[in-house]
Amino acid sequence: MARSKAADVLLTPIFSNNPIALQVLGICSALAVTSKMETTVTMCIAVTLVTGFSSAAVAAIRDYIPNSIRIIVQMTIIASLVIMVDQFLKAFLPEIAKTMSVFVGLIITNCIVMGRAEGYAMKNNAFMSFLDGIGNGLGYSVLLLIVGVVRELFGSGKLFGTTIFPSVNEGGWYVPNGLLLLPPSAFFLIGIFIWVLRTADKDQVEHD
Amino acid sequence: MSQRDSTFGTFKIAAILCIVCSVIVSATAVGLRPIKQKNEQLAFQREVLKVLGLYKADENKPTDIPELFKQVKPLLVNIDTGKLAETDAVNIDTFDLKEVSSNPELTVDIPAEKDLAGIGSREKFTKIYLLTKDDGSIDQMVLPVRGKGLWSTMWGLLSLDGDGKTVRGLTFYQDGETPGLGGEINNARWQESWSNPECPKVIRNDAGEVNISFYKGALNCETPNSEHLFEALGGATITTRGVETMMYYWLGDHGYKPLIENLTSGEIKVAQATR
Repeated sequence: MARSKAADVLLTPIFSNNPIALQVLGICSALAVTSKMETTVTMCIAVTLVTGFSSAAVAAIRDYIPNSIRIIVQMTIIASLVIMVDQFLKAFLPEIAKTMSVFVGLIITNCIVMGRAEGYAMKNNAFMSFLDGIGNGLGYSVLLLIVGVVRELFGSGKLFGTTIFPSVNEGGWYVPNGLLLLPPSAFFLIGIFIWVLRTADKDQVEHD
Repeated sequence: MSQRDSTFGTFKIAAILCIVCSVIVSATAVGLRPIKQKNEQLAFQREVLKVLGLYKADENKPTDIPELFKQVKPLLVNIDTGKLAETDAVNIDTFDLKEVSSNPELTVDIPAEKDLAGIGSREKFTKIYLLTKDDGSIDQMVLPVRGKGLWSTMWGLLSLDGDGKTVRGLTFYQDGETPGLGGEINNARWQESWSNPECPKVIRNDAGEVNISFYKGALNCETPNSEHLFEALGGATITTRGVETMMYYWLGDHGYKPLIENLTSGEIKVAQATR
């Protein structure tokens, strides 16, 4: 019983309760970092870790957090974790850290992290909150990866910087779709993803 | 309500949380500092290689940097005399331009009428980088330059040919100019326009004076006087002027002029420089 509940908490956010697709949280960074797979994957890992550990930390001290400053407390924990992630990226992946620039810092304002801390971790124990955080991070990652694959593959004919479709500029046949490299294209892709998901799973359709 | 929500309780939790979080954050920052410094050093070496034309972003990998950098000869010089620095105040291996240029004991104030670049003071000693030809003569010299742009000090590297007046490369490794406008000083295409081998840019006229200006619009090799003209950045007049004044200052009498003369005339022997 307990086991299946843990698995539920971890897995439901990935498709049936996806934070971006159903809750429409955290799309800001989904637009910014998905034009290349390298940055997309780094962002996914960073967000998943931050969501997991911040939820766990908030849950662990939830009985001590005064109600009046709970948002500030959550924010402080999240901000500390994000700074740690940023420092690690700068130390071990300086190139990627440079291209991601401010977006690592902006994980702080990613609504998913805050939403899970306030919506789940304040009411559940540390272990379950950790799973919930990781699950939501993975849900975010799935969507980001799909958007990232489409954008890099059709936008520049590459995946992880390796040429898949040789582009016309480099003497190949593929004419890259420049629109996909611009942030608005992520909106279209997320919209299509939500449409497909809701067609497949009618329960997700919102009713007036 | 409970003690948790009392005023005292709130302050107590807030204080504890702040202390715990700040300890964690500072421990991470301090613990990772050596690795970050190593990265910064590599990034700087890459800029030197890039300005020398030895490092191409699409051909080389960051792991090639230490090997490539072995060809480059660093040299510690005295800017005032234009000779090799004979001092214990700075060490060539640990030389850090940012540190030196903010140390009052190692800088000289620039007289206001000469301070074209708007930097106030400059270091007495600096570290330059030479690339030599097989016969031992100087192929390129890389000189650190900096100056105020619109928002920030732009820190760059200028590579001159062994003749001391032909530009071989320009790069900026730190600036805070407006992305898309002044920030285009980092645009590879613009930087390459400084060192196009087909129409070389010359920063000094025959009388030995610095002579550069910026040109608005399409510039090509046929444009009259094109060897002294550089492409202005669209929508970034002040940044462009910053680059211009920076060149006038650093290549002028108060800047590297004596040093460049000594390097081109053979006053400073490269063999002597290799230590």
